[in-house]
Amino acid sequence: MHDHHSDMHPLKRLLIDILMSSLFIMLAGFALWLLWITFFRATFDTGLVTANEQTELERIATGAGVSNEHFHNVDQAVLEGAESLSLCLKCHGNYPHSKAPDVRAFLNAHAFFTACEACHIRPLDSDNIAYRWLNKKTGAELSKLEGKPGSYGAMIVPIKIVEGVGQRLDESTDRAFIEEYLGLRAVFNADQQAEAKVRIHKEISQKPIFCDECHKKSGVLNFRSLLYPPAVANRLETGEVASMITKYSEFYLPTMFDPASKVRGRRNRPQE
Amino acid sequence: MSHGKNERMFVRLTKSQRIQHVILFVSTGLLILTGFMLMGERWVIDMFGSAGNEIFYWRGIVHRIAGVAVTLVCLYHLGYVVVQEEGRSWIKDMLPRLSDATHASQNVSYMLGFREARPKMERFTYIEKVEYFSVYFGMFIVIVTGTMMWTEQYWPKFWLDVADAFHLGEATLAALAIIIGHIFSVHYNPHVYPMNKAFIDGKISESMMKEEHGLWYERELERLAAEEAEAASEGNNNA
Repeated sequence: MHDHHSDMHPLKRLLIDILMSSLFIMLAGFALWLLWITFFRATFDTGLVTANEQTELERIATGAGVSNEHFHNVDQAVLEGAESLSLCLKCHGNYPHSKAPDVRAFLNAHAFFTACEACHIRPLDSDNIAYRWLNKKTGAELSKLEGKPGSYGAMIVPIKIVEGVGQRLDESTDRAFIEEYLGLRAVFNADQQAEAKVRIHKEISQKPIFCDECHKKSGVLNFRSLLYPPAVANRLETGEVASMITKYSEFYLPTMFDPASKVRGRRNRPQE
Repeated sequence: MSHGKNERMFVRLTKSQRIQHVILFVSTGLLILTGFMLMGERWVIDMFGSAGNEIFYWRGIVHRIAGVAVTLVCLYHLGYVVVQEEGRSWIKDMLPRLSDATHASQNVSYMLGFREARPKMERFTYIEKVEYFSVYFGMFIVIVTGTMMWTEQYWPKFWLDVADAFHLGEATLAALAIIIGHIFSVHYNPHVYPMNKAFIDGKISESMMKEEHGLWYERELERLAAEEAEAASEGNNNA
């Protein structure tokens, strides 16, 4: 029953020894790996640096690494001060998106590092628009991204290029009119307010640019020319962010938590 | 340890015990594999390429199926050691006794060279008892925390974090105990290399039984002798 190992045919014994040695090496390797993940491995792999991205390593080595943390639960307006608030927010508030409860948190989070006009002015095919990170205080274009995601002290601004000269689309040419209106609107009746608003919003597109128009390959934004390292740009275009949006648009969870919406039908998402 | 081809064999594991063991080790193997995939190194997961999503979908399904299997075999075993006669004999011999402490100290002395011979031990040695009851301890933790994580919508985040830490910690402990303790003693220990076949045929040889379970061997011989005597006397009465 119990075959005596040394009684075996030498070839059979050799095969068994090879098999058992390989198994031993695999098991020992697995055991060592368990010790490694338990005691030595970093708790969070950012996925930013992978072995085949030499340029990434170089970027980190020169101290220009872009952190990959989440920005949830951090109020950027509190962190960065409100001095750079857009003119739009004077009427629409710090959290301008309120209509679509299931996506408004994402939209409001974007509002802290994206000019309103980046989404709310849909460029015509004939327009030559460049999107750039501009410093919130000085307006200077960033040459690299430093700091936590979204907190670069800058925002993504659409710049319309006409005959080689760039014009910021987030600086209304009608600023004087708007500021005067802000002073007068309390005494305006509804019709007068509506008439003024038509002029104020004349540049604004009826249908804004929605999430999945940027978070895809060759979308409205070119994340590489927005200074993101290739790995992060991929993540924003095709990785977790883009796939989350795809799932979100067919998502059942918010409806589950908001039964009233079943009566209203699918809520008034910006694209609908 | 050498065993002659025609050596006398004794029953070490019954059919029921062997079936329980197979279910236990197949599902535990699957659980370790599919569980630690979640801790996998990024470059390994990247090798799955576009199949990764599909593989990880099935990973979750297989982990749950194996988890249910291992839970059922544990519950069955609890009934088995209470209800069935061979189960009751099993748990009776498995309960820790004062003699286990004596055997442990004597065995350590032997291994350090202070004693001439190994102590004569019972059907289950003190090491086997520790291994056996570790499975109770470990299974309790992984089954409770695994069930919690499977029903995550009913638990606060804090308790899920606790469950996650305990599940991973116990899984790591169990995997290392199996590899370093159990796999060594049933495969790489020179007594049994390359494999102790008791889990397949349920048998132990007389020489190994004498060496590792001396007291049990003596007890079994007495029992067999008593049985034979009884059969003989019954035969005489019938005649």
